[in-house]
Amino acid sequence: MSLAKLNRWIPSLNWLAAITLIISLGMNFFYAPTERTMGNVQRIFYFHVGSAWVGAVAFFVALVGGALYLRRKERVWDTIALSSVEIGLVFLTIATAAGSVWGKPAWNTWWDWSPRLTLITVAWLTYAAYFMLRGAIEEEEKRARFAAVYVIVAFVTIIMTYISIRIFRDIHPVVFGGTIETVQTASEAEGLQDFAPGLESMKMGITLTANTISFTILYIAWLLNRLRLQYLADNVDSLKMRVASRLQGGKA
Amino acid sequence: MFANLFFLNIAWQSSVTPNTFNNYLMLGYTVMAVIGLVYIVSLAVRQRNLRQDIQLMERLLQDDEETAG
Repeated sequence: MSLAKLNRWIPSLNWLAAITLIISLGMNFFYAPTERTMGNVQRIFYFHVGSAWVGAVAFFVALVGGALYLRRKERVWDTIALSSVEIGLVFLTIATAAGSVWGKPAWNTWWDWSPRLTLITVAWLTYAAYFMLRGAIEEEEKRARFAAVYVIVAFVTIIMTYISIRIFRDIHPVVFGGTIETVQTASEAEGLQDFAPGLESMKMGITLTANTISFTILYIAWLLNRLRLQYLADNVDSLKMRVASRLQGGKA
Repeated sequence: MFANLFFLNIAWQSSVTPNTFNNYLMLGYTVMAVIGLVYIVSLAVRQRNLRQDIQLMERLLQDDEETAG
């Protein structure tokens, strides 16, 4: 995608992301019903799940970018992977922070080293280390190749984080993919979400879907903004080289 | 000042009661908004710096061309 195309798309996407986020926020507070046990604090759940979902999508896009870079050796895929990891890390931080704030009233602790929370920390550190890896390699082609392999392998931490609550005993609730019995038992025992069939539960589902969509749009908007930033950085690098060669020519 | 005290109060309180649940709701959304805004500001600042760099480089090249000409 060229810089001109990015400049054309970004303002519209920024506005779309802002509007959908405001709509989601309105739904979280005024459309979604109040949860039976936890009351209003459960409304954190919608942004928490939305940001966690987009974080996982961002890291998957980075994986695809890394794989395509290794196959085609086109720099744009490395740039997409880099941008996506950066944004994924922001969403992962949002999800973790929101989860921690929700955890205090739900579990009476800000943090617990349960398998899910431990693995999310591992995932966060793994992707943070991606930037250290990139910073440690000067040669551009080598850096992109190493980063591509790293970002593919790093996705294991996201898969492990996702399945951890399904294979280990964990304090974290299973929202998607749990059996009806486990979800009902979990909600009854911990007062997490009202998953009983009916309109109230459906409203929660619709709100969650709306949040997921709005966070996905926000991700796309941020990704394009970040890609434009990289275009500008490349432009600066090429201009610096031109200036340096002019100066050297002048001195010679 | 008041907001700081409000959040410090939540952070330090030892017991959680249903009466304080709404405070956690506000804290949660505030934390998420702050992280998001910090990223948006970082994108804007980086973009502004790069545009300034581009302008500077182009001016340098233009000056050099004028001097050579």
